[in-house]
Amino acid sequence: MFPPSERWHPEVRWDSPAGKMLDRVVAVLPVERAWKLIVFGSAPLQLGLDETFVSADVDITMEYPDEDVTVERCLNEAQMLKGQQDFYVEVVPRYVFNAPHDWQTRAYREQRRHVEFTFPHPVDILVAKVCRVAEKDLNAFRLVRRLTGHPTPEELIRLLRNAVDIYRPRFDEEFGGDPVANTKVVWREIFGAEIDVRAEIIRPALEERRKYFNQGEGLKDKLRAIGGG
Amino acid sequence: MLRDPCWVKSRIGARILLRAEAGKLTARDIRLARRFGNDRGVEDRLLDQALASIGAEKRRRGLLPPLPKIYVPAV
Repeated sequence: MFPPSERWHPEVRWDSPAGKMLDRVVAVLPVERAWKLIVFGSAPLQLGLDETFVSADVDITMEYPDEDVTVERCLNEAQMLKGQQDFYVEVVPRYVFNAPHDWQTRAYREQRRHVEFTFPHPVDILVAKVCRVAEKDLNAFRLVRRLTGHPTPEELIRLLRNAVDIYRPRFDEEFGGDPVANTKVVWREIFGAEIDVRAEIIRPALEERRKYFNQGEGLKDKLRAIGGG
Repeated sequence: MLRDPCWVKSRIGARILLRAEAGKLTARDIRLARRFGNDRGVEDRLLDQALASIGAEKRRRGLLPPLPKIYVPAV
């Protein structure tokens, strides 16, 4: 069920805690215009796979980055943000969702009145969790694997290759976990196996990019040599 | 049709590469190779595209054998 080769098509449980919360978001956003929100973190798993998979918050980000201030202001007025309610909405910058570059092709979209919600495919939600891999993130892996049978190790390798930039060294000022070590933890805990992240994910992904970006490598040198340097 | 100067120079560069391969270089080719070899608008990628484009034109005119229809992904 729900392989990453297909677009996700869940039956969204709007009566789950996250579903009710998103309907409240719809109610507080001005109706004069259309809104496009992306829901990520654990909420899509609760909405589409198991409504008992609860979380402290619902993470949302905007399809159009400049909208986050407006949305946050509306949610603040409705007292729906962190510190205002025990179960709350967090408006997160778009870059926090570190998913494979092709995640949109698998995502599920559903319109609720004047708001279009995008729910990334569960496998993309899992990939985004590799940057952290807390116990709760591993539970998300276990849940998705148990209910859908995906991702298989081969599928996860493919997905992580499409998110290879998560493995780049961090800037000194940057926070964040160690995705290479985290990937090894996922393999051990979820697949009961070891993985060489560089050999299986990073090198093949960069090789694919090199194929495109280095097309014709050396031709200009040849031309220069014909001209005598 | 307006042609991008980088593309035009790369097409000429590609023809020079082909003439060099065939051992038919002229003094003008060598002069232009020196010029385009040091022109920042001429790049590996454009030369590669120009070679593919010239090859396709030659195939269309029957000057080169057609490529096989079996798809083989580039390595």
